[in-house]
Amino acid sequence: MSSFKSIHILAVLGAREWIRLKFFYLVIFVSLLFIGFSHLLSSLTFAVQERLLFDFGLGGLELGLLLISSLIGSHAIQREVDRKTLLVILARPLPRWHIIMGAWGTLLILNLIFTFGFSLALILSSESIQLFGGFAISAFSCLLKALVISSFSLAMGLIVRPILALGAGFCYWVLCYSVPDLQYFVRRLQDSQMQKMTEVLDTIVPRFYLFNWKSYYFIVNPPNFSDLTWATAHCLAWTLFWLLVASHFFKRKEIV
Amino acid sequence: MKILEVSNLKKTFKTDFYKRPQKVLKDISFSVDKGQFVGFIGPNGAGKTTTIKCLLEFIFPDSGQILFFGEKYKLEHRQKIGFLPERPFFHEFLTGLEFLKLHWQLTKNTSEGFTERAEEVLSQVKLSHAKYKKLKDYSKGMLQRIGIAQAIIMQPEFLILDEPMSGLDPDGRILIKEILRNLKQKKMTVLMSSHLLEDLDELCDQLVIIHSGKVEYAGALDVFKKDFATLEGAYRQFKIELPESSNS
Repeated sequence: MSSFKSIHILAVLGAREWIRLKFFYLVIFVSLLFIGFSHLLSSLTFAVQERLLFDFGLGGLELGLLLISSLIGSHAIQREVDRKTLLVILARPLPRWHIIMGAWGTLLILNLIFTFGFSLALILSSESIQLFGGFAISAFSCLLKALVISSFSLAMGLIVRPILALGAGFCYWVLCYSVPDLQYFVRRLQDSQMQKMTEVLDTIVPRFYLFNWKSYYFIVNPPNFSDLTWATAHCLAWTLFWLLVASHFFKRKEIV
Repeated sequence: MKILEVSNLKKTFKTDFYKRPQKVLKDISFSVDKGQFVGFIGPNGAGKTTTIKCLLEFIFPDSGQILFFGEKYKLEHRQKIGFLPERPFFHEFLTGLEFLKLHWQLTKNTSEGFTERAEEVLSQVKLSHAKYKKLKDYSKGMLQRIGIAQAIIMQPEFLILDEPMSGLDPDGRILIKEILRNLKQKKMTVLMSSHLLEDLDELCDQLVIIHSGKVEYAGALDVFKKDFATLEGAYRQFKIELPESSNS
């Protein structure tokens, strides 16, 4: 209980800090542009208006979540170290993993705020309230992926410089989607070693492509409960893995 | 009773892949007894802040031993230790009161008893009038004082202050000195690094002088001063008598 309390305090502190910064508002502005564009695009057609609106809108949601997760995740700890605000917190009787969990909690809060805000804006502007259930599942799948990217970027931010961690976060996100594409090309190359490599890659990176539900099709035909449970468990397991990696590196990190 | 015992502390920093590691702490040994006000002196780059960072496990020494309250350093010891870093930077969107509450809650996990203690500490550091002001609107001296307030709010047994008076205007220095004088009267155990010999002369019972990562003197202030009226005079003589290798 006491661990949860201190993690909660640190998470809220971090969220307050990042919400004040221009970056968060820039992401919101870009997202609003996405919603605007999706409306503009959908107005070009009569037949698939809703489809265009939601496909484009959900793409914007995932992009916004990716920006928040990778940018804030990669800078969360290093920023505190550079500004020396971490010193007085580290001097408190807190194990270092609380600070990692606090930073991840910050990302969770920011991602949740963004997901709720964006979803609400999109749904209300689409006037398709009846699709809310399906849309919520699609948005939830985007949030799950954002949690994995958050923990990955957090871990990378402790191992390499934040700017490299940011790049790594984007690459990881791309990789999580593109293993089947790589496998397809490797199959055509007929190189057995490369095929094995892509098989290994498929095992060691999260399989975002298996629950890529950010489209109108999945809003109208939502995935079943077992798929949803699998996706949740898959993402939470990867999140936990990267948080353990982050905690391990932060445990012996020197705060110079 | 020994509050802190440091023996044979060594620390090397590797700045770059191709550069030779830099020995920052070569041999640091000293101790702090309960109720003592210890001044930690040395030129810039001597290793004062590095030693303090080792004490609080911000960085990890290559070898040597640090004992707090006669035991190896444990997380629980931090409940009994207050710390003010050099040039403190805090979350500036917090008000003075929120900042203190943050540190209270991170240590105690409850808000119980906070209000009374915060009032007490804020009046001690003369910041009662600014408790609802955001830290970004605080002057440097006020930040230093709120930093001391966060360090003492948990009523620690041992206080570590890293240059609490650096860069302050005369008014700020006078106020901080007054706070430190009060702490001394209350028999608080303090380890304070500083360049201001005049202030250390007034406040300290003990001195630890380090040069190039080595302790050159650790003992009573009166013994160090011997025939000199001021610490500054004694320190000047001490520097002249230091072997050349230490002065370089």
